[in-house]
Amino acid sequence: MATIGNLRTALNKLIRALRDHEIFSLPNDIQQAWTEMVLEASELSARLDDASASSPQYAEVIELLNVATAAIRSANSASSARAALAAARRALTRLRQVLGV
Amino acid sequence: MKIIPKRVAVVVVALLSTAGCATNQLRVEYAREVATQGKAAAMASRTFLSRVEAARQDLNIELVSADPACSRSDGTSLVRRAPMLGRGAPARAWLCVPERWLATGISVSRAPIDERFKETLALIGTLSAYAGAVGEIADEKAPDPAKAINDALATALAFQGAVVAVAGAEGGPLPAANDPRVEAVTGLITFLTELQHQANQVRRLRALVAESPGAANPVISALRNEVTRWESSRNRDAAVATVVNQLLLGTLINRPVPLAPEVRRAALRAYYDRVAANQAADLLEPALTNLLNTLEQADRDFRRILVRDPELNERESRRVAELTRQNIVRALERVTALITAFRGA
Repeated sequence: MATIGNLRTALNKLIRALRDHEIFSLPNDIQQAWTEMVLEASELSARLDDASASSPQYAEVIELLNVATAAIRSANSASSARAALAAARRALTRLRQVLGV
Repeated sequence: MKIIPKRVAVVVVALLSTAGCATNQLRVEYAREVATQGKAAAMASRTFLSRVEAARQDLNIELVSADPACSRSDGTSLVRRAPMLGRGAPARAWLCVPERWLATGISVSRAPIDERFKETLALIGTLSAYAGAVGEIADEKAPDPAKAINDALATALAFQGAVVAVAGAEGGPLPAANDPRVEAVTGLITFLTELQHQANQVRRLRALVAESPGAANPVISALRNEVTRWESSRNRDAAVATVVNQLLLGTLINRPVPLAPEVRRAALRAYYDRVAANQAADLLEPALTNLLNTLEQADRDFRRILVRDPELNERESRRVAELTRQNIVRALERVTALITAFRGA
């Protein structure tokens, strides 16, 4: 069963991928959505301190986070950045549900 | 039945005395390893916490520099979910939400975190004290018996000199300090003292461990959890700071009327320096966790072999065999020197 440590690692990787992407030359709407994603991922990261040590649902969230991280890392155009943000949105929405926040 | 010649008996006693001592030497080696790793882990943990605090300060700088509305008196900032960018964006409150719009932003803590380090610092202090106590015993030098022997001999020689002078006799029974017999005896006693010293060290290490049975590993485990938690904090702060920095960079780079090249160049250089610093800082936590894992294993091994008649693994058995061989060689050298010195007397 996946642990909170595994979940934390996957979320940290997503946050780093978002952090390391060059967004300053992207259209304003993407910069705005990107900022929102960083803030929301950060907010959920802080919530992990109070989460259960393990859960059968964590594995699914980790998988979604990993998919989103890979998409963010490979995004090299405005359209692929939008698709990557959509993947991140799916992962964070599911994470929010699992954490019940 | 043959009587064992005295010289052979001396050799046998000396060799027998070395056989059980190699495990003690290994125990002291392991203790030294725990001390070294423990001190390194404590120092690295403090360095890591300073990076966590620096990331929080950097976040504060970025937020407040980007938008004065980010500076709230309660140590938080309510950042807009979607910052106002582009031509119509105001100079103030484009990034942070004015206080009256509480529901529309995401709260980002800007509060200094040094106060919340207390628990982590207490764990580091405990680890540091433990490593220090183990190290103090393991690094203690064996007493030097040569000095005591030479001091005693000097006193006796002075006395002998006085007797000779008063009685008018020639010479005396005592050898000089540089007599080969004195050197041989001193060498053997030094060797045996070292072995005795290691046995004393092991007794004191056992007493130290008995005071806190299994205490090191829970501390290491708790510290590792704290480090993971603080790394998430640092990661969050670095990410928000970097994205805010990029939003500001975007407004500098993408102006309809470009700013001076040196201004844009400096802003871009600062951004890439930040990227490099972020990536360097990412390496700290895995390295520290790795160090704590190594320390945990070293302490476990140390405690395992500290007991009487420990079960040694293959590598340890080989090390004990090697130490025993070295001890036997040293013992033989000392005993040979002793016999040779007295045969020539």
